[in-house]
Amino acid sequence: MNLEDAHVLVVEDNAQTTRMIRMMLMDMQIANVLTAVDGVEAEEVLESGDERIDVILCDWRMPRMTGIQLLKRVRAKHPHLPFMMVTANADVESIKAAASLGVSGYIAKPFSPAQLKKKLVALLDTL
Amino acid sequence: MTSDTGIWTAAAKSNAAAMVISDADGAIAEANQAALNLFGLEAVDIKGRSLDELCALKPDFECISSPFELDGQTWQSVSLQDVGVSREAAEHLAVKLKVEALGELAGNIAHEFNNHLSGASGFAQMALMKADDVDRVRVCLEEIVAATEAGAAQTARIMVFGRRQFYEPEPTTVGRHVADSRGLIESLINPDIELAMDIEDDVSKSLLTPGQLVEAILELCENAVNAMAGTDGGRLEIGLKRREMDKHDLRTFYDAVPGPYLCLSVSDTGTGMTDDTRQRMFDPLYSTQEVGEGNGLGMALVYSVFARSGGMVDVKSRLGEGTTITVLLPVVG
Repeated sequence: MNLEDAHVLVVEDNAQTTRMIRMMLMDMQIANVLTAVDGVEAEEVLESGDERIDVILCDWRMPRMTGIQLLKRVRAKHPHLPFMMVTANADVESIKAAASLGVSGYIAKPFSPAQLKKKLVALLDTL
Repeated sequence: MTSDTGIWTAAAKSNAAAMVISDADGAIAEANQAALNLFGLEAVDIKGRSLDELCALKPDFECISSPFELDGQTWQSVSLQDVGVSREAAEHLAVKLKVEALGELAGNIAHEFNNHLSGASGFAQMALMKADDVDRVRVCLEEIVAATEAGAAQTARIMVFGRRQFYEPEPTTVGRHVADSRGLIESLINPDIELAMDIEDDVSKSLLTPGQLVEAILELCENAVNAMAGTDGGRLEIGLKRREMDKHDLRTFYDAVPGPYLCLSVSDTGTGMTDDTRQRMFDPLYSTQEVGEGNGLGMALVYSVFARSGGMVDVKSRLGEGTTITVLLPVVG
């Protein structure tokens, strides 16, 4: 899939990080960007079925529902939906847990626009 | 049928806890088998010895005496409790909890600061990518300023919690400050919430910074109000009374000194807390609030403000019924 055709759901509790990722995605000509402030809201978006989602970019540490909890729930219904973890602290245990639950990839904060693009292109190539 | 006296005598003699009976002068009259085993003495060797002398032999044991009258004579029933083991266990637990808490605190702070750094660096890179686009550069610069300001604000709050901020406590009339905060508290609550204040004492003083006291009271009230947000109406009760607290009253607090205390309580009829929330409520950066509304330092600051004045915070909460937070502040002067 071409990068610019992708529909991306950004799940992030930090408003500034959301704005930053959105600007990075816009620079990549990705126009279809949805945002959710946590796992609960992201699940609502997915459950509603109103929106096409090709890839999820999800923060690791969030209140109410963590990224890993969301991953678990998403995998139960969408086993192949590309799911990328955005993590501030790449601790080995969490990465192992995410890998065992079928995470598609992860990117560590802080990241550059080029790094995000590279990771996204790799993910979308599999589609 | 067993006589009342007989059954108690038999029970005391066979009790697994070491127990002795002394006369009013502290000379031992009787000792049960557990006490004889503890001191390695025969019954004949222990009788007549001084209680103080025996207790000194076992520094890890706490002697708890309770006087009683029998046939016109005063006696003391003394139980000996091994506090050495529990003290050691408490120390081990304290170290374990400290390491866990530090790990969590470090992780949370790292996460927060990484977010700010990530924002600053991400927007800086995006500004550089199109450095001739003035509008875009301006947006990016504003984001960078916001990220650094958020980081600085967080540092300031952590400094208060970390006791690095300048702090000059003074004897403060707690009751007066609580009463004076009424207007501020009323501004926090919806009209459908009933506010009840019962200030029994408006003269006793505790060592505090008045500004921080008011801030802490407001934080407690704000949490109470938030807990009632989903319920219909509700009642916020604020109480202050002066009480003499003995060792028994303070038994759940480590290192608390018996004496006069001001008991400040804030009760709500809100949602109550789960055990997990109750245990984590004083963790810096832990928050149950909606995203963006709380940064979690609130209750940690409350704890810090009161702990600095030698105070203690007790939390009682039941899911669906509400929460009462009681602060015990030692009275000065």
